[in-house]
Amino acid sequence: MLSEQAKSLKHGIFSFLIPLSLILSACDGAGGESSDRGTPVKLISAEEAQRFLTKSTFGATPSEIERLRTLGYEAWIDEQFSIPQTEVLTITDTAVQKREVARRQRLMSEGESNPDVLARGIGKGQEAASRMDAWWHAAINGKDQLRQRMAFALSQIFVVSDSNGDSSLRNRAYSRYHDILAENALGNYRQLIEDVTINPAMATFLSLRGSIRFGFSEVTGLPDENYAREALQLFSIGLVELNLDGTAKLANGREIETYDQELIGNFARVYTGWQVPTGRLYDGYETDELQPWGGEPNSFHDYDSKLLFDNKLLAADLTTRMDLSEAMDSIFHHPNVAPFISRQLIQRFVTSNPDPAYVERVATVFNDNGEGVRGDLFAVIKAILLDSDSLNSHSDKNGGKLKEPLLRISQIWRAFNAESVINYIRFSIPDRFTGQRPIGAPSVFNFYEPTYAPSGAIEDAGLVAPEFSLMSDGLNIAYLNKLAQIARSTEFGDQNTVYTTNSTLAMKLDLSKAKQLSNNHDELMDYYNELLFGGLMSQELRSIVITYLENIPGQTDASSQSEMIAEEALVLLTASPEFSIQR
Amino acid sequence: MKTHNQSRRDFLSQCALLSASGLASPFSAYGSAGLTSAMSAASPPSEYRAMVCVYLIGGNDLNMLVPTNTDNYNLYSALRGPLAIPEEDGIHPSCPGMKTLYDEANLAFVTNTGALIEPTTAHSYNTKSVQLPPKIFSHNSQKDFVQAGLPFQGEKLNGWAGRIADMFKASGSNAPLNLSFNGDNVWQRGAQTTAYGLQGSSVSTLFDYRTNGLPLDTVRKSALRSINQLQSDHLLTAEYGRIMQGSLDLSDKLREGLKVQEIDIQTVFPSTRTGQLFRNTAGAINARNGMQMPQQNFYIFLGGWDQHDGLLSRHRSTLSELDAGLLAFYRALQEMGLENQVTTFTNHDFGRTLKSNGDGSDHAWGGHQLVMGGAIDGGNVFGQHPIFSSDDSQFEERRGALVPSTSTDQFSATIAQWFGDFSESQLLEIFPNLANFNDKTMNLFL
Repeated sequence: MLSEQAKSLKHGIFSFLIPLSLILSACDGAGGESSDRGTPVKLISAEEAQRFLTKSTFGATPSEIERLRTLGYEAWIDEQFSIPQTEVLTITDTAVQKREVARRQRLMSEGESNPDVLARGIGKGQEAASRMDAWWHAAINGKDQLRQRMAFALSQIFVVSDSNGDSSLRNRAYSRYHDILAENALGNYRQLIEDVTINPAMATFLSLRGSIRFGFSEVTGLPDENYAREALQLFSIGLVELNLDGTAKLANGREIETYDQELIGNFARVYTGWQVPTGRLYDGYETDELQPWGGEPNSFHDYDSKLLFDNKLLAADLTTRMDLSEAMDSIFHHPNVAPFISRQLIQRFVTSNPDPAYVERVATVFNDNGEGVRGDLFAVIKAILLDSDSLNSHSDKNGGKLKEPLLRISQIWRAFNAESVINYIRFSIPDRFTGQRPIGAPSVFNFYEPTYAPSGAIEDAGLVAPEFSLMSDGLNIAYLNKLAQIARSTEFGDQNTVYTTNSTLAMKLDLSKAKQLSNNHDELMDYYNELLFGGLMSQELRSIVITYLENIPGQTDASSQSEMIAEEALVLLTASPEFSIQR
Repeated sequence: MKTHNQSRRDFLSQCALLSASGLASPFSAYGSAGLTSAMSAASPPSEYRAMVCVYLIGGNDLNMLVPTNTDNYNLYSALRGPLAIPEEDGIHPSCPGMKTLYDEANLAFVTNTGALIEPTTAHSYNTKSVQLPPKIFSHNSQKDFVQAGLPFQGEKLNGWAGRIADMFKASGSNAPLNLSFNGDNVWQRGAQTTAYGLQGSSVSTLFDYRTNGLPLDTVRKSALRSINQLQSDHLLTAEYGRIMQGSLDLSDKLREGLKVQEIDIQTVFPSTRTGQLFRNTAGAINARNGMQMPQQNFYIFLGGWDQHDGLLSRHRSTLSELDAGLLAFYRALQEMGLENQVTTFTNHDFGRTLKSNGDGSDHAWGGHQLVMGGAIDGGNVFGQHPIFSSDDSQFEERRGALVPSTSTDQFSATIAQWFGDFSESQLLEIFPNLANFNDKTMNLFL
């Protein structure tokens, strides 16, 4: 489902975006030692690579750091574009089968012989856990890191949730929704919004599915406005008119609202008459798309003319699908889309408070990728990551962002090559410890809003920090405890329970390198500093941790001594503000 | 000013008779109170009191109350079409707990409240001759508006319970006031204070995991404190440490106190999420002395009310869960002997359209609230009752939306005044929009 426009993009057209210093050092965007001009002027340091990968993946690994240093930034991004997509639905199905097998084996070992009982499915809770297994597997082990990371970001803009939605929708539908976001993640926004609009999971979550025209029967009122409203407010243009740099336009000192109730009513009429083609949506996802209800003519669809943005009149008697397509175009060409989407993507990847000029540079690429194509998301993410404001973000005292808690945890698992006894990373109910669960936000307003500012110095400075919204006191402590458990997981837990519990015990970190360095605390800190902090660990943090390590009483057994040093250092470091904040 | 005082049998029956409520008042000048300055000081009341805000995210459909007057019921039924429910006692049939409490005079309803800056009618709304809350019909914007109670003219976002906490603090009180089961929220956020975010029935602590006799767990906590308190010239890093250490410190302070339960509560709470939230609220009230909280405010956040489709069954289910939780909570308060000192009320983004979109309702404006407590003049329906016809100056016909006849600020200020014994000038400081209304409060309390 990648758009043809996106597929046709080739490497190397983005050099105009790259800061001069990088062009000088990286030789035609290739960077690193692969340049055929011989010795590169400047290699990307391991620390720089770590920081870049912290923004663009689910966490830097030693091998990915080397890969990036070899390729250079732009070539690394281009390589990511061509890596085949990890299909979360396929993995979900495999995980479900494995749980079914495990369930049968457990029951048989307990003496169960009734074939009906043995053949029963695993139930919705275990299906949900299988979906989470699959999501984590893609995040931690997927090679298509940039695509998966972008899909995660998009899932927080085009929000579908397994909470508060239609409880009969099956987990496969959510995994498939993730895959559709991933398919479009480096494609085109125009295709993305159409795919999302008539996706069964979205159309169920925001009740577009089955919306009926006014007057269909005596009791039918105005059509459902849910999707019409949220798609404009949250997925495309927002509530107020924006400048290209993402700041609000003002008229007489006041913001200008982007639409009124009249327009919502018109869009709601466009979205009438869509339904799932087969009756068994909830057992799977028989289709990626809703269909005009009963074909054309469609007695549920409103065929009267509609007035969309810019007073564009949508003629009467267009088909259900043509209406939709025209409405998507109307949204797509609204001048707010580029700054609205660009700014939120910058917030997901780089900084909570982008300079308006940064937003404008990215939004300009959104509007035209240099080849006359609007909405090219690959060009957009490239512009975001290669912008000098991103590459130099660590020097901005008000810059950066609080890493999303799931990304802090994935970073640890990836850095230390987390292994699992079941091949999957297992963390089925992350929201209980972090406030975050993929495709599981409390509402269409995501886990946090882009404008959230915690009270205190951030709000006083007029800045925002959306992820701080998850820092509820009780949750903070649950998170620290889970983090300490993860950092100390150097051995597998009880393997017999991994299919019946949803715990993280089935995983272990490889801390062998840290253990080797455990006799030399300075070298140990250097190692963690490069791999987890991108070289930004402060002297003060280092010295507190070293003092702590020096006070750990000696163990009689050298192996448990080195393990304790490696783990205790990791527990404190990962709990630190400096690790939690991406600079 | 009490607009109505009816027996249950007459529930909503006077709707058609209603013409001029005392709440309708001529427009006054836009309020422009200077909110940048700190709140003035106010002493907390001398006795224990608590407010419990049950926030119904998405907006409660109007079916919670059904007109019992025949003419009104017919108008209601014709408008709602497939969404109409049978006329019974005026209270939705899946709310037997509310009905019991209403009959006991421990619960009242307030009809057609919503976000307003100044008195508004359908006509002044349609002719755009009135100042409206910004981004009306948008969930988060209206949630912020009703929780804040501010004119929204560029000031920092904080809420009226937070501003009350600020006023208590300014008078020298150091006790925490606001407890939330949904983390940071606008309602409890002050300029100087924030809510403590509870996770469940207890306050957890950092786990000890070195069980081999080492004092490491204690040393590690102290090292973590030093790390959180490190000076950093990087804004977000410094704030993360400050907030995290604040959580650790306040948790240590509240954890032991929460275990000090005054009585052994016998009431059995429903096992639903809502039931457990009410149970945990009762537990924290029961531990008020241990937690050293002479007053408390609770924020309970209930999801699932944005019922654009499947409304009849979904509303039954959400209402029923709320209803059972409320009843158990009230019984537990009675066990503690605190039913007169705790007032529970609902709030939401907005009411929803009367007209059906097929099988659901859409975002609208005026809606109904309930208020529960022994201090309430219960068994009554307050506010201006909707008539549901074009004769009604508060009825916007095209989508079947109610234009609120009582502002959320008037409803909130009434509860705030009960809670804090505030003077009118203090109320105006907390609720600047009230300057536009003749009646600052309602007569909800005995």
